[in-house]
Amino acid sequence: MITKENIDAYLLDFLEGNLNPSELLELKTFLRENPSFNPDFELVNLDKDNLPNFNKASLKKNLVFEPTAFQEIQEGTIEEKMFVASAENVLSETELIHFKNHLIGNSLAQKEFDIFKKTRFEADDSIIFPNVSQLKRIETKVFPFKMFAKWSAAAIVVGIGFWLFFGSSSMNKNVVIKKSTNFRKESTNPQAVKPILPNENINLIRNYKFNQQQLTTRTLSKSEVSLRECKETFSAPNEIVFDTNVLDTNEAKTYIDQNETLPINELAKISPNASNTLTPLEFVNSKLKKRFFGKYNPSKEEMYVSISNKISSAVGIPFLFIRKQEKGNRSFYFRIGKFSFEKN
Amino acid sequence: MNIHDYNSGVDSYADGLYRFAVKSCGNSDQARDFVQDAFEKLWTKLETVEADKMKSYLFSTVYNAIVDSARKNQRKQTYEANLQTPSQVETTYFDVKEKLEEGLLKMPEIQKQVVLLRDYEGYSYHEIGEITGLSEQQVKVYIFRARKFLRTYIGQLEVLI
Repeated sequence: MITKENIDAYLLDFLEGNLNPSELLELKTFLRENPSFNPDFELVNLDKDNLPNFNKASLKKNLVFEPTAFQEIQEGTIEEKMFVASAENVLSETELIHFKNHLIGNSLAQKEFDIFKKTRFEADDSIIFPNVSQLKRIETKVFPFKMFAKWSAAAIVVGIGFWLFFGSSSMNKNVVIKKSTNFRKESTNPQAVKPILPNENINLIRNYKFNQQQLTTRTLSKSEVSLRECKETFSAPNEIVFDTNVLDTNEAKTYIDQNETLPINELAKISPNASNTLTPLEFVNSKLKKRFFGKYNPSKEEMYVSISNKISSAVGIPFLFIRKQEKGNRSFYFRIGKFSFEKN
Repeated sequence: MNIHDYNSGVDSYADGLYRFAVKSCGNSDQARDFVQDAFEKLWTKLETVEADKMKSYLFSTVYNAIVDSARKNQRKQTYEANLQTPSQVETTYFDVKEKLEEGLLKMPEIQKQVVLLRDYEGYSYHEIGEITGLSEQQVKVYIFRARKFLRTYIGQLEVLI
């Protein structure tokens, strides 16, 4: 490598013609970069035309390897590929060592490489997108209407199913028939006909006193609700207690009228395990039946007819489906429009 | 991908995307439209685009928009370039960076895009291929040509200096 210290030796060798083409090129490169070392009489002619017969490829023989990243490229020289690959930082460690060795003492290559390095762009951080917040989205909670509708529909279907198949039997619990060994003892207790004070009236229970043809009604206060108190208050042998949340007076009377011919013991068989209170579910069930079918305790036939009528009015086509079960025999009748089907 | 990923993507990539678009098309207003459109498209495909592919999707969208726009304006630009006289074009450069920017504008569109993606965002050749729809080898060729072109371009300045 030519330096300021050994330039004189090189110039001497040049005059004596001892320099090989590679050393001559290196000398000329040095003198171009440091023209002060070139003698005034221009000992070394730097014109290209006066260069000795010099094969540039002889220099490139030192760079016998090709960068792996650009091996597939079929254009450019190996040196150019090395420059680009180095500028791209895709040289392997071995390739980088070879490349650095190639640059040592080769100022032309070094200069060329310096220019290639400048071809890389640097991101200008001063360029920023105006109003980035405009691009952002605000998270909003969307009411899941579809899911809500599905679950509501499912709940309604389940509720109706539960009501249709299990609800009818629970109505019997509203009727409490108490058997008593004392037979139709008229009440002499003045509390039995105690007037109901306005503030006291809870209207929870009406007590129907079943006494053959005579039916007396009385509204009990809340303190009189319990069965035990009823027994103490009324000495009547047979009582039928209706929850007024479920049955009104007329219905209770109808029920009693329909069954008054039955002996007390038979009445007791209707609902031997009945209680005098309703669970919340039973209460809702009975209310729904009343609203939907018009009765608190409709028969299955009535329910079928009611549902069929509603379907008919909704669809606009005559529709009827009735299913009966009498003494173990099942039968059903189906009609839609003009077509009907019956099976016994 | 959810809305949180989307908003974090806005924070992370909006500036880089805008920078890339500005340098590619040379028009800040147009670049802003490209970026907004890209995020709009991303929002409509929020459920289909994965979070780790968001950056690639955004750059790919902007790249395609720029290429389409460049094709549309190609005839107009050619016409305007023909109107310019040599005296209007010649400029004296004393800064390599300015010369480099000038060279960038004169580069073929595809070379410009791949070089910007490479230098600005540090994408690998494979990733650039995914964004531009080119093969990895094609990307390398374009980058090689672009570097050579820029070297020649700024080399003239080096000689002047």
